[in-house]
Parts: sequence; structure tokens; C-alpha cells
Amino acid sequence: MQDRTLIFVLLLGLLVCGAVSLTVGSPLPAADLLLAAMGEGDPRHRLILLEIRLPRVLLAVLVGWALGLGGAALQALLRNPLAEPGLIGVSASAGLGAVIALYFGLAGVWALAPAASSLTGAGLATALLLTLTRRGDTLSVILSGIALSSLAVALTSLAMALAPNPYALSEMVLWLMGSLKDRSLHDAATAAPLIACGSLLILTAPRGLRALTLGEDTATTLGIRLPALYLRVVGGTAAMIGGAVTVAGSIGFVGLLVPHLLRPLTGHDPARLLLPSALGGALLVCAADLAVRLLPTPQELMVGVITALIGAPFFLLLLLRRHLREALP
Amino acid sequence: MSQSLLLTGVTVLRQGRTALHPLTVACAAGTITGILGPNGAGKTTLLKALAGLLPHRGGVTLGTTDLTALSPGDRARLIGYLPQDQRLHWPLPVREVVRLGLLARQHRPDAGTIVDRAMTATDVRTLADRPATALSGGEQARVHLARVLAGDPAVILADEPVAALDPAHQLAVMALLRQQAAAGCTVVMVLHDLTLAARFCDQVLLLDRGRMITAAPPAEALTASRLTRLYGTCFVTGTVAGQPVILPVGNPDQASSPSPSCGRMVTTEISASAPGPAVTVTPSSSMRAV
Repeated sequence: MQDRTLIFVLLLGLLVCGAVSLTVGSPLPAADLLLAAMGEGDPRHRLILLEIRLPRVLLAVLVGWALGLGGAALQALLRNPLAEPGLIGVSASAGLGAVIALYFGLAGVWALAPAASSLTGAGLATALLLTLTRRGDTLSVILSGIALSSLAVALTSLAMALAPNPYALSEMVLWLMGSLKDRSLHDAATAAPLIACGSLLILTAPRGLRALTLGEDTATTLGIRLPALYLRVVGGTAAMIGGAVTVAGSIGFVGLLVPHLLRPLTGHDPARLLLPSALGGALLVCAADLAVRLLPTPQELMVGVITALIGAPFFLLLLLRRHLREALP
Repeated sequence: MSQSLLLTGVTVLRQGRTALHPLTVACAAGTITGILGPNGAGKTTLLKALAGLLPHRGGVTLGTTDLTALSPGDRARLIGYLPQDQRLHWPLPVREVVRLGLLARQHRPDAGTIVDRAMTATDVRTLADRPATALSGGEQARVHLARVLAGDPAVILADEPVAALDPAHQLAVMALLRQQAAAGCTVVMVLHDLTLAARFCDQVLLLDRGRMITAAPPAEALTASRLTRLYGTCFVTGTVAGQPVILPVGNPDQASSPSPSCGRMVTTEISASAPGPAVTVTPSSSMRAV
């Protein structure tokens, strides 16, 4: 498929999904929604559209974009289709930051404390990761990521085990599960600059990522500065994922599934995969968030649960199909 | 483009150990230099140092250009590198793999033509749209060679370019490199096959434990006695159908402590005429000694 066609189809899907998301919920006539969008009509309608539904859709797009692009970039950098943003330990560290804020009850003092603390966690993890992977090789990225991730998960578990009260514990669990519920435009404004900077770093590195198809040595002889490429892609992904986890908690499987699904449609070219993967991630998270809002459950499900519930079996199915195809004569 | 590659006192240190002792050699433009020697002699180390993959001391110049002072991008425009490990991490179509050879160049409107020409030269044009990872080892080697040719480098550095190929493809790849040299390119390659080295190289650089033994034309450098000392096994050299042949014949008893006769250069002239039954060589008394 032509890249333009694929990008157009994904954009169209995203627009439709976003538009449906804005209209789903307590029934509001289309005319009222339009009036609210133009800042007129019933103030309650404006509130529903601009304060409740719009931030949610915007965040779904931002977070999905970050996860999809981060996944495609890391898979290209590490030349491994199983790499995903969670691998580098930034999401776990951001989660740890938020859990620490909730542990000390800072959310009661300042509403933005978990987000700020989460961002600090992501920032510290990124700085550490970049120091450890300065040399520019796959193994140090993977090993540092695993070590950071394990440490953050262990400390998170410790904080949860020692939670001062059940309310704090439930706050931590809900935060870690990943959700886009009850977010404000302020949250979107927190994540957007980080995701924009990260995207810029990654989307301007297609030559290096494509050259890595031939391995690190050959890429170097093609004029690619590997340490700079690693800094750029790892730093960009960390900024995006830090921003996304800060406002939405950890949403799994998007970064793994989306690049995997779209790769055959972009000729397996790691550079051509970047933009479609970002759009695909945005579409998937937007659709998953729409699904949690539409599903008639007593309590709204977490969007992270839905992406993993859809993503994991789908991924297994893809693997199974590939095995069957290879096994057949 | 015709510029000689000059290595002056090139030294490589790895983990505090000297992996390559100071080495000075000139590789003339339009020639093929073969780097030979036993395993661990420092062949790949030398090639990687030339390719800018290993830090090294000493000077490397191409004509009047100091390669060590160039940025990676500028160096990439002058040097084409064929690594030993030619694995592709994603199943890109052949055409796209070849196009990667143009990565260091500015965007060129005639990129498609250049890629097509390189694919035609290495006879992979009919495979252009197939995933390169689905090809045979021989086809993949030609695809990688096409990638290097597309970049139109002044120097080609190849690390065992024929190691995984059948005899026919070995000859085809060597002939292609020969052709590039004839067009003015300086080719430096690591080889294990002494016969191919004798046949296709203009200069042979023999290495042993990180030191240069000699750098000379094959007939001068690849003598049976020297090879015996270098590899610790006996060799027979000769010509078949006018082409040089160097065979390791081995002699476990003598390999560890070569006798005076082992390593004597034995030239056997065998003329192959029309295809017929395999030529059987009966060892002469002197050959038995080898």
C-alpha cells in the first residue's frame, strides 16, 4: 500500500473515531454540540463537550501517538519486533513517581502532585538511561532498561505493600492501570510539549533507523553517528512515554501491537513505519477509550485493560498465523 | 577518483593490548589488495580500522585526503564497506537494500537509475521486488555488493566477501570486484582462499598475530615455504589451466614441526583441455615430501 493512502486511511479513521467519541455519552443533539463547539448555547453543553469529552479524546490521541511512535522507534533502533516503550523502564519509573506522591498523600495538598512526581520519575530514569546508553549499542539499552524497570516495579510494590491506608492503595492501583477518565485540558497541555519534542527527535531520524537494518557496523560506515542516534531515539521515546504515563498511567500493548500490525503495509521499512505507527497508536487508544465508554459495565473499565485484552490475544493470533503459514508446505 | 590508499604506521589497540602493530602499506588505485593470514591475525581488525569502525593511530590517506580527519558522512561517500555479517534485520525488498548505498549521498533525482544499474551489474535486477532476506546466500551477497556499488565509492573494503558462496558465485563476485578495480576503485579485502587471492589480487598483505609479514604481489608473497611457516601446515602451489592454485595439503606429523622438505614450493603444470574426466595428479617424490 502507498504510504499516503495508509496515512490517509488512518487519519480518516482517527477523525471518525474522535468525532464519535465527542458525541457519545448523554445524548446531546448535534446542533447543540456544534453550538457548544463554537462557544455558544447552553453552558452545560459547553462544559460537557470542552471540559469532559474533548480532553479525553485529545489525550487518547496524544497518548496513543506517543505509544505507537515510541514502539516503532524502539523496534527500529533495537532491531527487534518485540521491543516496546515499557522495555526502557521509563513508564515504570513514571509510575513509581506517581505512586510515591500518592503514598505520601501529596495529591490532597496539590492536585497535580502525582503528575509532577511522575514526570520527575520519568526524567530521572531518562537521564540515567541516557548516561548508561551513551556508547550507543543495543545491549546496554536493553540491560539498562530491564534494570531500571525492575527497580521501579520493586519500589512501586514496596510502596503499595506499605500503603498508609486502603484509599491510597486503591488510588495507586487505579493510577497504574491506565485511564483517560476525568482528565482536563490541563493534563493534555502537560503531556503535549513532551510528546511533541519526543516526536520531533524521532521523526527527524529516519535515515539512521533505516540504515540500522544493515546492522550497527554497516550503518556507521554509511555515515550514521550511532551514539547520537541512540541518544535521540531513546531520549525522544523517554520524553514521549514520560509525558503519556504522567497523564494516563501505563497503557500496555499499543507500542508492541501497532508497529507489528502496520509493518507489512510499509514494506517492512523501519523509517516509513514511524508516522503510520503513531497514527495507528492514536487510533487504537481512541477506539479503546470509546469502547470502555460504550461497554455496559457497572464501573467504567480502564483503557489499559482493554488495550491489553484486545491486544494480547490478537498478537497471539498473529503469531499463530505466521507459524501455521511457515509450517504449511 | 583514481587515488591510492596509503596506510602509515596504522596501529590498533584493543582493551590495552596491541591488536595491530604499526603497519605501513600502499594500495594503489585500480588494484585489489588481499589481506590474508591465520585466524586471529588481525585481518578484520585492520579492515574495521580502515572503515572507521575501530579507533586507531597512524595515518590513512586517500590521495591527498586524510581519511582520519573526515566526518562519518564524508568518509561514507568515499568508502564502501561489505561486512562479514551481512544479516538484514528487516525483510526489505532488494531494491530498497541497494538504495541504502546512496544514504550518504545528497538526494539525487537519478537515484532509481543508479540503483537499477547496480542491480544489473550484480545480476539481481530480476529479484528487485523480493524480500532480500528470502534470497539464497549467494544472491544476498550480490545484493550487498550492489548496495556498495550504488554508492560509487573510491575504496571498497570487503570482509570475506566470498566466504559463504559456492565456487561459481565466488568467481562471479571476485570478477565483479576486479571490474570495479579496473574502473579505478581501490579494493581491499580479507580473504581466506589462497587460490582466489593468487588469482585475483594485485597485492597480498600477510598478517600474523597482529604484525605484517609482507605486502607484495601474490607470486612473491604466497610462497609455499612462507605459507607453511605462517599457517603451520604444508602447501602445494602450482598452476592449472594457466591459473595459480594454492592447496593446503596438510601433514599432521610435520605440521607441528615442519621438516626441511615441508613447505618447498612445488609447481605442477597441469593443462586442462576440453571438459573430460577429472585430472588425477600423481604425487611426485618431491610432492610426497610436502
